[in-house]
Formats: sequence, structure tokens, C-alpha cells
Amino acid sequence: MEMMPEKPEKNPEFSNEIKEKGGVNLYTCIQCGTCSGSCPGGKVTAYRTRMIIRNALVGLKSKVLSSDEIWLCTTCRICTSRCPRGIDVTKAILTIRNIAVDAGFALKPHKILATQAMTTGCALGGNLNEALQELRQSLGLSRTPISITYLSDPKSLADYRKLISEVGFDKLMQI
Amino acid sequence: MEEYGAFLGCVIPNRYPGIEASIRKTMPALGIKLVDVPEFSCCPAPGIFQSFNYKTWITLAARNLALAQERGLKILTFCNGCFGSLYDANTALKQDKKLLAEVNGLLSKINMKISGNVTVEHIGLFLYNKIGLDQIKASVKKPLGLNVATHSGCHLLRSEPYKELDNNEKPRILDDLVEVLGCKAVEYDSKVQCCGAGGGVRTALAQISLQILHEKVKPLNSSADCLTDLCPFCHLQLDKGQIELNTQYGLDYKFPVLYYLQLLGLAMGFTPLELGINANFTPTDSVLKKISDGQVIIPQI
Repeated sequence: MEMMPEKPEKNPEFSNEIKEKGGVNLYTCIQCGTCSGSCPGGKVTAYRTRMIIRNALVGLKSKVLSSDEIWLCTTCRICTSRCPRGIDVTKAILTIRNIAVDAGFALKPHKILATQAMTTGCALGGNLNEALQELRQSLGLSRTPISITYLSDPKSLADYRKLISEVGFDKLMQI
Repeated sequence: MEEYGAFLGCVIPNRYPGIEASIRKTMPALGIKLVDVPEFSCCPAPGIFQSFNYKTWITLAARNLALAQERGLKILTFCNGCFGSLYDANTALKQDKKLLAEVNGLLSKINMKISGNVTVEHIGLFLYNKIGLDQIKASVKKPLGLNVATHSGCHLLRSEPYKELDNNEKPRILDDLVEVLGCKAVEYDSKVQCCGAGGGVRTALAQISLQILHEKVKPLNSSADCLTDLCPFCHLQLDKGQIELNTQYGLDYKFPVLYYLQLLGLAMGFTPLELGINANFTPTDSVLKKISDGQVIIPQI
């Protein structure tokens, strides 16, 4: 018997899930490609926003969630501002990313940065190197930043971490 | 003096202290008193947190908003990312009572509460709308006479609630802010294009981020003396990114990039050293030479 090609997955609920979780209705998309044509990431890569939206609409959920392409969006929102159907395309991509992360598809460098932000209270957290401390001092600033570098105040850091654990973000990042 | 809670974010204090110095010099000169809030955390970084988990993003942003609310402070941001996080979170909480109740439920675990009524300002819009071009012009002691290419940054141009405030295909706000300093704002093809840093792209896909930057800086030519921006993350990409393009792709970019308040500070008469302009990665000698009427200032760290 001849081998049959694998049937593409159909998950028609995927667009509804994007609508429920992100409030974005993809059903009015006319596939004009203005999003792809405007995209700065698409200019230098094979990333095609229109194709992501199309695949989401036809229900290729696992294909969309596992693709590296959804991480090529810089969230510049030019597709959203130009979409003739008024679709918040950027919000749709962000919602797809949220669903992808729930399904375990996060890129490692993002997880490292998120872990750093969770531990210290800041995306660029941790102690500043000596050269930067010197530079700050030479400019008349405190050697270490007053806020945000890392939450040096123990109560603030405890509060911040408490919120992260209440939301469940630490478990999501598998810390 | 009107008081504002200074929200400096992560990039300014940790990577560009020169920008922090320009903030602390220029704001009081315009009659603005900045209050530091040591309890503020990361905004949190929208590229990562909004991509990963919306609820985490809005809850951590809400904690910062609650800190300002407790102190009766308006927040002044100096970064498009911080503005995007805090302004958008505040607006979402104001509009969605169910979301507000959910976030307050989480905040109650740390004895905090929020009403969604905190004022969040972005430095560019604040200068343009609240301070006004006339007062900025009056603070200029030394018109700079530079040709400047402006980069407003996507999360200012296309931040949802401010969408109608500037024409996002032909923005003018930063151009007008530059021109009151005695400069000319020059047009270039990639003016509204993204710098390539946002959305976690610079963090995880550095090569692609640099390729986007290449498209951004390619159209800049000798008609402009420098580039100016209103966002330290764009600034990091435009400034340090040029050096990365040079070392990784054998290119030769050396286009000076100054944060807008560094330009303003120069026009107010502060020295390049006071404003940390020498701490930018791209060489700024050509700009400093032009504004000092031919007298070369070579800053030393």
C-alpha cells in the first residue's frame, strides 16, 4: 500500500483561543499581506506575519507554537498601525507567544533573562562592574543606581518575588 | 517645582550613566524636581514579560504603579519600554474592572492596592506637551547648529493610547524638539523603522537584530551630523549595535548617536563631560567639534 502523506493537524479552536486570551479577532483578516510587507524582521528573514496569521486561522496550532518565527517579531507594531482591517496583529503574536510558553516553547536566552529579572527585580540585574561604577561616580552619580538595578531593599524584593510566585511565573520558568 | 517620580528603568543606570547625568542636569533646569523611589522594580521589560505571560507583566507593572499611587507621585519615564509597560498597564487596569479586581487580589498579598489612575508620562511627550517648545527654547544658551536625524522609537510612535498624538508615518514631535535647539531635523528613508532591539529579538536572536539595525542605519548619510533618540534601549542598539555590526560584519559605521537630553544639555551649556557623551560607544568628536565652532574638544574619561 502506498504511504499516505501525514494529515495536517486541524485545530479550529486555536483562533478562538487567541480571541479569548488576547482579545484579538483574526477572522476578519483578508490575507492582504500588508503586515508582511511592513515588517522589519520580514525584510531580513523568511518571517512572514501573514503566514503565521493564516496558519493560526486554519488551526495549525502546534506548527505555529513550535515555530522559531514567532520570536522574530520586535513588537514594533507597524503591522498593527497599517492593517486595513484594524487587527492588532502584534497583540495576536504576543498572545501566540504566551500560549507557546505555556506549552513549553520558550527560547533559552529569554528564560535566562526572565530568571535574572525574577531573582534581582531587574532585567539587567546584578552588581555593576567596577568600570561602570567608576563612570557613574565621575558623572556625579551614586556608584550604584538608586533603584531598579536590583532591589537592595529586602522587603521590596520579598514583595516582588511573592507576586511572581502568586502568579505562578516561577513555575512557568521552572525555577 | 513640580515633582515627578523618576522611573529610570534598567538600561539608563546600568549601561548609560551619561544619559542619567543628562536627566539629572536638564530636568531641574526646566523646573522639574525628580523624586527617586528606591522600591521601584523593573517596569517589567515588555519584550520578555509581555511575550511570556501577560498576567505576570501587568501584575509587576501594577506594583510600580501602586508605589507611585501611595506616594501621590506622577511617574516620568525616560524609556519607550518603561513607558509602554507602565502606561499601557495603567490604561488596561483603568478600562477593565475585572482585570483591576484580579490584579488587586494579587497586590493584596503584599498589602498594596491600585486604582488605575496614576499619571504616566514619557519624556518626549512631556517636553512637547507639558513643558512646551517655548520654555525649552528659552533654556537654550548655545544653539547647536547641527543637522540631526531623529529616531522616536516604535513604542512611542505606535503605543496604542497615543496613536493619534503624532503622525506615526511622518512623526514631527522629536523633530520639533530638536529644532528649538537651533538644529535642523533631516529626513531619511528609515525614519520610522524599528531599530531591531525590541520584542526579545536582541536578547535571543542577536544576528537578526543586527541585520534589522543594518537596514535602519544604511540610509543615514552625511546630510546628518548625528542621530538622536528618546529611548535608551533603541540608543543601546543604535549606538553599541553599530560597533557590533563593524566587528561582526566587517563594516565601518561610526554615526554619532546622542540621547535627546544629551543634546538638550549641550544646548543648555553643560559640558560634554558632564553629560557623559564620551561614554557613548560611537565616536562623538565630529559633533562636538562642530558645536564648539571648530575648537576640538576631546573628552577624557
